Amino acid sequence: MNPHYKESVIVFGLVAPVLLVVIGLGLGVHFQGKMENTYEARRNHHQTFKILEREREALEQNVQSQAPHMHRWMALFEQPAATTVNTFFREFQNEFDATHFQQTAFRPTSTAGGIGGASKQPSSQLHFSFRGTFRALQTAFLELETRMPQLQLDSIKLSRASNQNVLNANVVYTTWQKQ
Amino acid sequence: METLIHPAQLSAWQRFLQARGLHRETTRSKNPDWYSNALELECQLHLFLEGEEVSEACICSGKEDRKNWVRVSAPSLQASEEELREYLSEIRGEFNGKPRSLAVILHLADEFAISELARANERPEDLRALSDQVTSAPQEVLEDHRISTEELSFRLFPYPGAGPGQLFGSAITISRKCHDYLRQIRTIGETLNFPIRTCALSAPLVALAALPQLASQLPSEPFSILFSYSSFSVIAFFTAEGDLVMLRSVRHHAGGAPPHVGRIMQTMAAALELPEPLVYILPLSHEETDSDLPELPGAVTLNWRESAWFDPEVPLEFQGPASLRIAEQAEGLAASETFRGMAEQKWATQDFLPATVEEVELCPSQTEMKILRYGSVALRIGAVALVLFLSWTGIRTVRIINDEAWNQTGEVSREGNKVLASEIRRYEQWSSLLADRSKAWVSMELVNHLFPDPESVILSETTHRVRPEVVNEKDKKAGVIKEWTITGLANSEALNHLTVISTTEGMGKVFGIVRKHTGNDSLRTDLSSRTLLVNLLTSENKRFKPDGGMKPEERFSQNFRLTITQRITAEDPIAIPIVSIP
Repeated sequence: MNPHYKESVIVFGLVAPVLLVVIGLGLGVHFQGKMENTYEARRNHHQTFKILEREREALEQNVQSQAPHMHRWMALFEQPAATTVNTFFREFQNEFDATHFQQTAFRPTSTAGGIGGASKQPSSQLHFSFRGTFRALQTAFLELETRMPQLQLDSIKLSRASNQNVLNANVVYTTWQKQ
Repeated sequence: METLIHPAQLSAWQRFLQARGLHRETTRSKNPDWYSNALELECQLHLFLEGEEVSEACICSGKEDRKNWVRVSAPSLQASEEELREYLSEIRGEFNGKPRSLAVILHLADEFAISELARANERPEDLRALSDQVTSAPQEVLEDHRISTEELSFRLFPYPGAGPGQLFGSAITISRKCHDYLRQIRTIGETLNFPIRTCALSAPLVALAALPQLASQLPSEPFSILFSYSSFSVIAFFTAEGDLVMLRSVRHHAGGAPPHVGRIMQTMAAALELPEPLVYILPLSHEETDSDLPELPGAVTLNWRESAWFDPEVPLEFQGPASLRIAEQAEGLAASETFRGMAEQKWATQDFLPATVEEVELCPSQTEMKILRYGSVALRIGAVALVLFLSWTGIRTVRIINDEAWNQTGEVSREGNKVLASEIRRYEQWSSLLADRSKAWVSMELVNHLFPDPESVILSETTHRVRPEVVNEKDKKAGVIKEWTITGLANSEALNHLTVISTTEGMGKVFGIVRKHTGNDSLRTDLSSRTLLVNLLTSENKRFKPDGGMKPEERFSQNFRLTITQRITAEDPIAIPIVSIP
């Protein structure tokens, strides 16, 4: 090699171009990588946003489909259950002869018991006594329990009355209350 | 290409610019012939210098063993640069095709001198090192320290046949008078951007190297040969094995060789302990006639033109370098150490007038030109890679920027979904709380189905109780125990029916029928979270009158007590939620 040219040719002719290209590519890769990372983060953000949006749509649909039930259920608690039940039986009694259906006793309690006793959800018990035919009693209970799903039967006792055609019924309901 | 400046006078950057200029504007980095030995080039111009002018000129091309020789006009040593350029351009046109380089080989037959080495009787182990020293610093190794290296050029020439105490070699001495002429030729090559390599050979040495091709005319005993030129003769002494013992030159005076040359040869042969060697004459002058040859008694004149190896129309010296081939199985004279050394070490074809160090240093070496070439290629590839990468990055950037995701910078809030999820959870809690767990009318329907024939039984009392069951305090739901107790009187038919249904399976069927009628799922028995237990207790009715009583209690023979227990665990869908709904 020519000692006068050796260093300058190696430095400027080989090392510098290679270094220039490596630095250029390195910077390119660095900034490109940085942009890709930012893009990846934003894409993940976007995907999360989309997933949440889809979830929200599904949840909204659920809520919308459940809303009528919830409104109906919440309407049940607008009046005290005892009042509603008494009103119901009074109206029901009007449709029957006293020998077929008659409410003989009603005693509401403010404390929880029976089914309600196991739950922290507020509840109270309603004690009823009736006298009536099997069919009249069953129809009354069917209508009441269908209208007021918050009533949970704790017990029912049916026994023969002195009149052979009717039954005595003692019923205890737990009624759920809102907090 | 602009005039080159010696790199020692330039800065590092300027040196690089000068080298890059040579790389770009000349063929130095592409054509390796710029750095090849002149004798290795394919196209050669051989010039024979005898006297004051070039007397013969031939061009040759082709491989070593198939060289084609063409006689051309000889250039003048006094020719101007312009005339030389014109001459060389004509010579380039003489070759078939387009030559990629030209070797100008000057055979110096106008002078030949021998300088003695200091301590010439002690043969050194490394002749190559001594040769380098003779070439670069002859004052240090020659007997005569007053010599001028600016005017003379020295090359070592060994005598392999010399015995102990005899001279092992001498320094062949040639004047530098043709140096500028050859430099002018090289400069023309540079201005034409065409590699012209030069070489100045000593004609007698090349002729000496060609002797093995005349071996058939030479004896197998000690001999001496007189190489005769117009202004001098060279005498070479050989042993019987064909090894050179010594070279001597004899200057001619007006009228040819001195008359006492025969006596000189006899004296020297005696001094070299070669008793009466056979004497040969090899006339090589292109000017003198046979009458100019010295008169040597008993001498045999060699006729090299008779050898089949040589082209008789081309001077012997021109063909000499090509005869120096390294043969693996050399025979005869070629097998001697002298001629093997000439073939291997190139002693006979040493360049006496190479380019000066300053001239060589002016241009980068082949290695540096390769570095520049590869660096340039690397830079271009890198630039292309960079452009491709940047283009790809640009396209990718445009795509990314146009992507919907890139512009999605708003905060992602889960709060809305949490509110909705809590609404749904609240719905589920209420749904669970209001589940059809226990209904009075369903229980009455169950009693109705337990006794399909009302005439066969009298029911005294029917009780249904529902109570929660908390097994574990940590449970979120409580199990449910539903119990029906029915007591009454039955005849044998009703008792048979009760016996059938008072099993888990039998009661399960009754539950299934009631569930079908009422649609109430609390009577499902196919869930693993539910168990059903039935217990029937019967006893004799002591008031029974077999012949028929008046009162209903007197018509049925059996008392019974039917107990049905449905156990529902905390895992069941209608288990009671313990946690309150917010």
